[in-house]
Amino acid sequence: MPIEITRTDDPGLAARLIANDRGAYVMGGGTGLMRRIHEGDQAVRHLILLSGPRLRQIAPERGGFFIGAQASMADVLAAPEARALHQPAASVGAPALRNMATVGGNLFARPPYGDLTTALLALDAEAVTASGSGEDRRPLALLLEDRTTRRLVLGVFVPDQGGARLHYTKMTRSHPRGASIVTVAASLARSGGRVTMARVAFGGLAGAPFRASGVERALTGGPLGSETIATAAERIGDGITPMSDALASGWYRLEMAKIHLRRLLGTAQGSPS
Amino acid sequence: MTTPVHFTHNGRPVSLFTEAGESLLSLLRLKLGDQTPKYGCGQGGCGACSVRIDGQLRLACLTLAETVDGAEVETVAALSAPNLDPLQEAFMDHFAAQCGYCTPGMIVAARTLLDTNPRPSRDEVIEAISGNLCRCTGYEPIIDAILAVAAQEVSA
Amino acid sequence: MSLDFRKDLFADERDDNLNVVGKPIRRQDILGHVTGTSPFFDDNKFDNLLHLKCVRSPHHHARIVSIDTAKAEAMPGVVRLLRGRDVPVNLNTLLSLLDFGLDDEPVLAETKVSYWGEPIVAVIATSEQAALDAVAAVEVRYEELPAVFDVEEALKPGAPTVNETYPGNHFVFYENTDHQRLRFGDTEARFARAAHIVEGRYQLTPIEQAPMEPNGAIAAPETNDRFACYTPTQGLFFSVGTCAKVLDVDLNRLHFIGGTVGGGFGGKVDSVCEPLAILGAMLTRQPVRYVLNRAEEMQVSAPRSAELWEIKDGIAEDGRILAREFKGWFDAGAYTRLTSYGVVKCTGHLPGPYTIPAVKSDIWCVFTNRTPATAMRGFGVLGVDFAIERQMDKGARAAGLGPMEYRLINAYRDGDMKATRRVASNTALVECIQVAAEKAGYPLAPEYKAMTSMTGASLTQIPETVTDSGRRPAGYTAIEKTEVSPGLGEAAQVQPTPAAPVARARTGGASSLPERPSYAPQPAPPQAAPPPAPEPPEPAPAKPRYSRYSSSIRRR
Repeated sequence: MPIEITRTDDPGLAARLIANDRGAYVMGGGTGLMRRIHEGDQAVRHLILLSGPRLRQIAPERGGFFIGAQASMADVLAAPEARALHQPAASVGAPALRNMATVGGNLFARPPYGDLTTALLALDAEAVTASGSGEDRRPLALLLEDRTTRRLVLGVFVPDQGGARLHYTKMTRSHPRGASIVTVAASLARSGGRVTMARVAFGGLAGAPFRASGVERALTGGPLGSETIATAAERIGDGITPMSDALASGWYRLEMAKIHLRRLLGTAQGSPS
Repeated sequence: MTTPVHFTHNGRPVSLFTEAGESLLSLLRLKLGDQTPKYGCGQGGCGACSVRIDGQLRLACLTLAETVDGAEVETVAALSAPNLDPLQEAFMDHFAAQCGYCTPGMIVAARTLLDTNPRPSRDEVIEAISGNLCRCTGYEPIIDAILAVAAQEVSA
Repeated sequence: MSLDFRKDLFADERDDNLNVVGKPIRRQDILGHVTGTSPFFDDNKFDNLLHLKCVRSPHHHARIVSIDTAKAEAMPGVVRLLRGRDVPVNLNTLLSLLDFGLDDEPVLAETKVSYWGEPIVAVIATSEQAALDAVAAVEVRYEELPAVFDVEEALKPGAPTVNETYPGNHFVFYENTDHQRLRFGDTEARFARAAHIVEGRYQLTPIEQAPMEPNGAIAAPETNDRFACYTPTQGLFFSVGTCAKVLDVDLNRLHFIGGTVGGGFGGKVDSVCEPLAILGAMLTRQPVRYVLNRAEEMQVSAPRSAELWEIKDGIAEDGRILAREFKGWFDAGAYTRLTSYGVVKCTGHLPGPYTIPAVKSDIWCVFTNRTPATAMRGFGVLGVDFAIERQMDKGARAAGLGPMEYRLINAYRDGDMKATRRVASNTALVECIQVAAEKAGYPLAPEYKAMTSMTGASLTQIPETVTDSGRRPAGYTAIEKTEVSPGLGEAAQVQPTPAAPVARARTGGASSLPERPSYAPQPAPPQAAPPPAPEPPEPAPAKPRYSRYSSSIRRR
């Protein structure tokens, strides 16, 4: 069956098409969908080429900033508003891929991809979705958990971080760029020597990027000492099945996650705030 | 479903029909006869199909052909005429190609780097070609060749 | 990157006034490479090009219950489907061209699949997309069989039979032994005198060659009923011979064009794409392109074999290795390909570049339900070298010596007798270690710095060797080989004294195969003891055979 293509600048139409047809996908940069087409994936039957200025916008909005779903990693890197996401965006792919891969595509990238999404989870970002002729916002974590409802994502909203700071690291087998063995993003707020808020997300480790609530609880309330960090690292595996693929076994991924969380927070220990 | 697509290929305007789902790589190789970009993975993992679209480095295998409508597409063939690019000379002098399969994409990536950053550090060169795999050379001769051109173009 | 030519070493053995060697010079093919105009096989252009894609097994081991292609055949763009029965000789082993081993692998599986990704049906369509869609529409029903992925498990009694040609899950060497053996000196006597015994067990995973250019081929009809095949093969004549055999055509009907290979590293010797592309071109009378995608290249195209090693060393007080025993298991995957040859090559390499007066080795080529393995850079040698060098480090610790010193003491010298009964020459390992020590800042004592590979041979005779009787594998009966390998009749005619005309079955088709040289597996071994040898056949009129490699069919 040949693939169908719809070009539109009407988000409402795109939202209806994907909601009603499980073979319909909105095309981002093509880095995920074109690969699936090449490999004969019969699930991809209808590509929607959706355009519109809002989709590539990166701009401050009240209480934070908005990034359109069609903004590429290169667009994110060129936008001063999105500074918090520069390190994660730079860790995605290589230059050519960063020119193509989009923020919206990253939300639905197959594991172990989804580095930017991991950072967005730690930043408590919200998914901006099409709703009738308007927009809706919901926590990104909820969007990622609900894989049955097919929503059109117009972009993400990243709230102001207040005193919190994002710490990010990605472990790869090949250097300087490669697919994730594990990606760690931790947003920490500290006051009076104590951690007052911790949002910690992992990518590449399980089926999709996720927030590790056990790790967050272990880190919150006390000083960021080595013992606390070690205890928190032991909570990473709670409630998840680490992913095995050609790059690494689940066991290896989980062990690396512990090491890289310890290292990342170890450097956070000495950093201001 | 076929769609007409008009674009500039290495400076020459072309008009073709593309099948739904067809990649730019397939269009260039099978319909336009430009065999310089290579298929290595179809996943964006190897860079053998690297081309420039409106001056930006991209992967032809992951580009839906009809999205280049109105764009300027350049392959390594654009660099070879009328004279060889200094990068091509340097690759020859530094033994920066063995089997030659990654070379066209590698040179497109390297030229894109030097056009935007004429004086790259070694690390910047490595980053610029980090999406272009080479299985033969071990990369060192390629990095040397690119740095040699950078030094030569800056001093000239 | 700077190269350091140590011209002080072996200076009188080398001519430094050569025109090319030692001079910086451009590769002759590099202009094509940097301009992207080197003619790789997939760069050839054809009108009416058809595309071939394969239906592959989703199971590691399964019986094929049924194949339904009706839906796929009716799909738009589909020109023709190929099944196992369309392949004239649908059972082959690559080294049959050298008369080494039994045919054990179909081009397209018909009755069962023995590895994940094994091809079953080939779809030929007007576009790659149409071929992929039709592949997804072919319905194959399977009855899953127990699979085995481990060499030791595969050799245990009761293990599932992976490859029906070899019911015991091991290759049969020289038609009379279940593994490849090497005996040199008396290891047991020397172990008894050793000050230290060091044992080690080592494992290696398969490694994919991962060439930048995936495997593939394009075949196209030429005039005079010939077929051109554009191929990235690393062994062009090998590939022609294989295709002539499985397609049952004369060599001169195949015109192979190769030469520009986008990386091979051993992964392009198996001729897995050429036969199907040519068969497709024969049956459609159109050019047919069959290229593996990257996932297929990584998963299905043959890697270096996995290996398992056990090594035992007996070491004297002064650090000399007195005896070394090897047990090795090469994981061939589901079919032989080149692993049997890797085992032979490995045996020729033992015990590594060291002089050891007693060496014993037993290596099995084992079939498992993994991807068939084949050549890859130094295959047969690299794996055991890894094991040997780890073993050398352990031995050095046991002997209380540094790793370089221990290797220098044991390194072979010119004139030393190797376990293969060849005298070593141009050894140079001593000098390599000395230079490596210097580069690494490793302090060598003067007596080690003074060593040279050119003198000091310690083993100049073949030692008195203890032999043991081989195990004749049960379940095989010798059948006289009388048939010339199909496709090689022409070559056979250039044998010096052909005593009789070459007879070849010309009917084609899998059901009318020429009587093939084989050792037929029997249903069950009659007893644990070696079966009685069959009577030597009546001497038949001598027929020409094209064979450089195999043992004779006559029992010795």
